Amino acid sequence: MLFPTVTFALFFFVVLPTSWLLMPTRRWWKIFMLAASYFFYGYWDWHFVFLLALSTVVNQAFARWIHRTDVDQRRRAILFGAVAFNIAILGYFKYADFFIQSSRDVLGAVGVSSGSTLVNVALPVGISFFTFQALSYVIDVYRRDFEPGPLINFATYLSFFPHVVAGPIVRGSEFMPQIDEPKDPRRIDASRAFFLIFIGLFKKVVIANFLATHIVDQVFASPGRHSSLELLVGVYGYAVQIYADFSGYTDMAIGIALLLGFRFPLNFDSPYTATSLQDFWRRWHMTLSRWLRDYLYIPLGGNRGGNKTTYRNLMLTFVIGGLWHGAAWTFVVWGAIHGTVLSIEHWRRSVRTARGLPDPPDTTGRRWRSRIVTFNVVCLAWIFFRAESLTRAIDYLLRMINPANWLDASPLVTFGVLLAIVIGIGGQFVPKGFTARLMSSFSRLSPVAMGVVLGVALMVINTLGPRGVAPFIYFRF
Amino acid sequence: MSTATRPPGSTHPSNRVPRRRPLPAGHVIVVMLIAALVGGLLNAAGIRKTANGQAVGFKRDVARFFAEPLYDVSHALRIDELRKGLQAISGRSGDDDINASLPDPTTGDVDTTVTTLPPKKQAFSPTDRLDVWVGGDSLSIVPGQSFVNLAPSAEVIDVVDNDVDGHVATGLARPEVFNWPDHMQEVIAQDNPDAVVITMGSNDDQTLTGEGGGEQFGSPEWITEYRRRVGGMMDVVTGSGGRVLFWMGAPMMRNEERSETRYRIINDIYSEEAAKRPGRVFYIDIYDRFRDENGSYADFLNGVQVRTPDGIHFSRAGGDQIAQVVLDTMNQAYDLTSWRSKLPATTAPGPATTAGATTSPTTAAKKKTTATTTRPATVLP
Repeated sequence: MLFPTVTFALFFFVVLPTSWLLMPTRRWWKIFMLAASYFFYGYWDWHFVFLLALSTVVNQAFARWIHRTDVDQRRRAILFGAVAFNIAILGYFKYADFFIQSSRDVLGAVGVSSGSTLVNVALPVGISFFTFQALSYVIDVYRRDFEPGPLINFATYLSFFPHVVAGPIVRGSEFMPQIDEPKDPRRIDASRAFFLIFIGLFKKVVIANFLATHIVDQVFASPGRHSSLELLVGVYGYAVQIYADFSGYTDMAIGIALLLGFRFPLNFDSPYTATSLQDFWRRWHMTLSRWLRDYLYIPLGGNRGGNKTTYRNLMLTFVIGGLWHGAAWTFVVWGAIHGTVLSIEHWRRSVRTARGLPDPPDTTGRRWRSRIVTFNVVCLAWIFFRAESLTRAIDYLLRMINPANWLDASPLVTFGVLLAIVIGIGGQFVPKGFTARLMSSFSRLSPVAMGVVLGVALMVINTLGPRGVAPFIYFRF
Repeated sequence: MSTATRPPGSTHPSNRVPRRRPLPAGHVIVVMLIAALVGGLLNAAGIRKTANGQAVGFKRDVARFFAEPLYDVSHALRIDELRKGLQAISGRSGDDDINASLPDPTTGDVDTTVTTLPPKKQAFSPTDRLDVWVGGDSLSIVPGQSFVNLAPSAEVIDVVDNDVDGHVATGLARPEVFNWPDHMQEVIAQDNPDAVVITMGSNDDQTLTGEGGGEQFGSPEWITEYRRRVGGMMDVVTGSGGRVLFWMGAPMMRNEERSETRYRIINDIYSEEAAKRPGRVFYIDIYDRFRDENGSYADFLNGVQVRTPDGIHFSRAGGDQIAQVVLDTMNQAYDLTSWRSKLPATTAPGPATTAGATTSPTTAAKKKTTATTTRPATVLP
């Protein structure tokens, strides 16, 4: 079930009032929300509901086992078992075919024919998201940061429908206490919720889909048939498309959760305004970057073991982060580019510190230069992220920078495409105070006026968007 | 002066954002209901089209039950004008139109008692290029992209917009979802391609809707009506005979039973209808191309993955193979190579005239007009 569909609207019209009606009897609320979330998840393929349930039961068992155990060595062994279980699930459903294909390629290159066939199992929607959430829960219990709750609380947290398929990656320690805390049905932050839902809809349905169908899909499918300008605008278009698509989804998820009385952490904070790659990762898919920081980078040693260890840890974290997105070498290269540039930024800072040099002055010109450089580095990595193979990505890059192709005709670079890119990037520079005022003004309207405003917004989004709803990019991850 | 008395860190009164007013749950639901009603009335035409596009069955019936009166009210009160206006501004007028009528074939049955000679091949060269339009259902997309990438190797082929006009989940079974003959008439009026490569069939193993519809898949009535639609589509595309249509059916899919009992029937209709239009329609059979040595569905052929994990669509390598098959078929239908022998001797030594060259239109002639006049179908008693 996709958010921007009539099916979801009908589902939510039932779930929202029922959820608030049952809220006083928390036990019934949990049962109802669990059932609704499983229905939502099973709407794609009901078989995978069993996988979600299995992940819930096994991770809860590991968490409780760790919690009951006092001996550190044994706790570590149980944690190892939990991590192995989750990686095995991810490995089977997400990476098995990648390894089979890669080994076939390697064996084929040395003249050995392999008879192995692909597993060909369908990828369960949201597997990467709920597996990472389950891992964070077990690890937090292991670290004694958090005590395991009842099974039904954990099951509700893991399957909660606003975040189950594409995040944000909410931690148990953030969500589970909210299940039992009292909520006032007379004080819903509806203006913020509606604002997020409709901005998310606009980003996804209008901006992301327009750019995908008017330039991005074409240039990435046949880079050799397009001019350098089209390829350059195509990669900028993809940068906006993936931002609008993914942040649009999480905006909707956060807004829907808010209407149900739950707060989710922010997942995007104007990422293309970042002045360094480090800054970018504080703003892009923030819940994944903090997950990687807390459960991978820091356990690996973080920046505590000198420069070389830091570079190694950065590279490992981002290559694994790349693989989290998908089983392909293109994602590995994407992660390696980010890891390398982050290492360079770290090296430059350490050199400055070692020489006792002060930080450069924070001028407007310097900030904009840094933004432009950072954005283009991110776009360079997006080429690998989007391309269907490494060869195709390199072809794309080489053709884009070849001066001979700059004078070719560029029919795909239209006013509409440029406008969508400008809106997608420019929207990130809108002052936060402006949107806060807008939400505040909206909240003061009468319910009827609010409904009319939202109805007109629905018409604009529906009319400007394409027929049908394209799946969200991050559903694949 | 007054700022001097403000405590440090406090915000200037003009910068303070008023707090958001929270809403009770009941009001939230009222807001949602009003938004749904207003949005529904404003979008009624689009909702009606979406409802009609649902899979035939209970869900579609229910959707239409609500969508049709909603549209009637919206239209009667002229509320739908706002959406129409926005569509006109964004260049998308007619998006909500539903056209379920389908053209009849204009070609009759072939008389098998006569001997048909293949028509002369039309020649193309780098200065008189073959314009090809590529499109179809979702199975056209990856092979079409491969063809876009492969076309430059022939040096005489241009693909319209360097793109594939793919429309997911469409075919000839559901004209109210997407009316292909209608769309092709627009394509021809706008681009006038010399050749059309179309892939269709994988979504058509279902009950037919639209004009002449209502039949269950596989019944004799279904076959008759589907044959009419295919023939009509072929004649719309080929027109008076100047344009050649390359038609690809469905490949074998992982669901072999469905492939054998359904796509075989559909592909046979394509093959038979193409045979009625010699020289105008070439049916490209890809069904058997993606089977292993035992005749079963294959993900891999010669160690190369040719299908995607869904067991339906093509991988890039599979798309590349199909693109090559299309190009080979085009070489059978057209003379795409004789221009090489007419290059100056320093670059391409060889005979100045070949069999193909005798039929080549002059480069000065307008290709679009020669295309319709130089290739009459040759039928002799």
